[in-house]
Amino acid sequence: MPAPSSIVFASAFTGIKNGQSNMPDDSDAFTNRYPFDLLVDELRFSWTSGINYTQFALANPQGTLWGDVVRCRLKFGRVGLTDGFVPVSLLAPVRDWAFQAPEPLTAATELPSSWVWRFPKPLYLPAGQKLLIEMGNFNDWTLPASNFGFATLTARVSMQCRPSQGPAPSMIDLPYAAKFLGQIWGGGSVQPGQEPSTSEISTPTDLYNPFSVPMQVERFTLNTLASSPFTGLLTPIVDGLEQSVVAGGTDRFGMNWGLDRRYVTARMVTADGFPVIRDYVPVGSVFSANDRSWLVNVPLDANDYFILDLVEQMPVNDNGNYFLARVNMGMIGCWQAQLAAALSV
Amino acid sequence: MKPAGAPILLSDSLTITRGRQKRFNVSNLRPRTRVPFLIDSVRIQAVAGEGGAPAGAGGDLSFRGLIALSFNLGERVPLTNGFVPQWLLSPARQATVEFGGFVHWVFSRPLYVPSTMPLFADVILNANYASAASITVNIAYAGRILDRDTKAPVTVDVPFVSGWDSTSNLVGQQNPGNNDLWNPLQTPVCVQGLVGRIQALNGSADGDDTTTVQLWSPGGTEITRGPVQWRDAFPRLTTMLPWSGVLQPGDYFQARLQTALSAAYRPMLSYVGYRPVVLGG
Repeated sequence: MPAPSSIVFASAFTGIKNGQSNMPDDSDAFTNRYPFDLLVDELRFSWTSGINYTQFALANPQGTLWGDVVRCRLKFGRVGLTDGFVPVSLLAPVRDWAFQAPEPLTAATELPSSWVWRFPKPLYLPAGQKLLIEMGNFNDWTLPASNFGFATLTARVSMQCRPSQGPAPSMIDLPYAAKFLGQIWGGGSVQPGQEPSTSEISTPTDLYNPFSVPMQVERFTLNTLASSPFTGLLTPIVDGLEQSVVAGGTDRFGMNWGLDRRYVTARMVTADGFPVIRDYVPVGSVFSANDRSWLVNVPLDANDYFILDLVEQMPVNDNGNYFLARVNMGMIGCWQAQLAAALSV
Repeated sequence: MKPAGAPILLSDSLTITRGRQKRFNVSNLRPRTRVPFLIDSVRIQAVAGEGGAPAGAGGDLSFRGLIALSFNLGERVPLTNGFVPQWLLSPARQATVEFGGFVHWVFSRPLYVPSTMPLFADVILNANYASAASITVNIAYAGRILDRDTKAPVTVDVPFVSGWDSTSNLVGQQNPGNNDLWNPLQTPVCVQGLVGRIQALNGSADGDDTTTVQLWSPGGTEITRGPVQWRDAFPRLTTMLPWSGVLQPGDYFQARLQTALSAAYRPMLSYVGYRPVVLGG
């Protein structure tokens, strides 16, 4: 019987408690049990909160806290494919707004969200080997977790593969996702109408190539998460454009609906201080609003890194209502390793 | 990481009011060292300035067709035929996010920019309504730095867009003329498609796209066999009607709007393409 042209492995990760991570319900779900080698093209993630939108709703990762708390850690043999737990929303650009920033359907509808990470180059998975996938539910926001359905999370991951043709290669391409997770800022002792400024800088080990060989950086990704302890519509004084702030809002369910495009500015330099983003620029001009990514396709030397420098504000209205926000950035690429070395434990 | 080959993002912003034309500060839109670079895409975003959106503008929504830009490489290599509404520069990619006044013009080929020829950008706010309120427009060139000694290519593929903005809803009186969707250059343009948008002047969303339009290619060949609904020619998902061919100097596309629009809509059309340019010539 000929080998199938495409193969899908999948498992649920049921009941991930807040602050914890789970292995797949089926521990062998991502083991290549076929008698031939495979190429992994992409991973597909989805998750549900178990509550309906009348309470908070959408497991919408684009601009809401869901884009922060749902994280994954991947390993191939002894090699990490992610920098620890990385928010799923940083792994890939937005490809389908319909599911990555879905609109509510009807009351009491539990709407799963999805995210697809298509690897920069296919990952070679020999027969008998597995991809280690761990899903986490990490919520360190001060807003009550119960408000957002983070108490328990169910995630699902599927792995899209196809048979590898030809002999086993000596060198393989390995995807890698590095991350910068910003601080949660805003709020505090805000005064009505004031928009206090916050600044933060990434460390040399955030947007970092930890390997001893160059990495090809495919893209940077960005997701700014915003929410608020207040309900309803919040109208910033500066521009007068209202934003729905949290659960129960009538419009966008607390998502960052373009807030960061005007309130977050960024600069970036290489490790040698060469400017990549020379002047502070609204992140909306750096990361396309279409896909929330910046396609660069540049090599990054071994142990080299970028430094991100952010100056941020979030609007406060004339009642003193405010947003909380966090800016997360990913650096997605791939590098080459010897197959035997990657698999040796 | 060496500077050569590194990604670069150059940006400038300015504030405009209705009818005002301004040029972005070109020193912010070129590397500080004298090196050539490649531009992969231009990102444009507009937000309401201090005091909120202009009256009747409906927030950022209606900036899309009302902000027009003009690009020139050096003093004599245009990327646009004068001012072109920003959302005619490129097909739509994710119409949802255009609500924020964001346009991402991805060049079909990276544009080589010599160290001696900056890419100038000018902007104008072509709003119909009177308002003193301001709009802040930010522009960014995303690309890669090249080594100082990089040999300049013999020819450079330079994008080119020519657009038509009805500026009103006077159907029958306001159709593209011979100097709108035309090639004003001395060289042929490789056309990749036509882009069509309808601006809703109340800023609520895209305009009514059930109006009918008939299109002809240069030489009078029908592109649409008779009038078709706007949305059939320019579906909202892409807003683009693919058309591959060469537009010779002086040639033009013709379009006729066949159905009366309501008072709130402002149709616009463009063609997008590129042509090889000898920069030293």
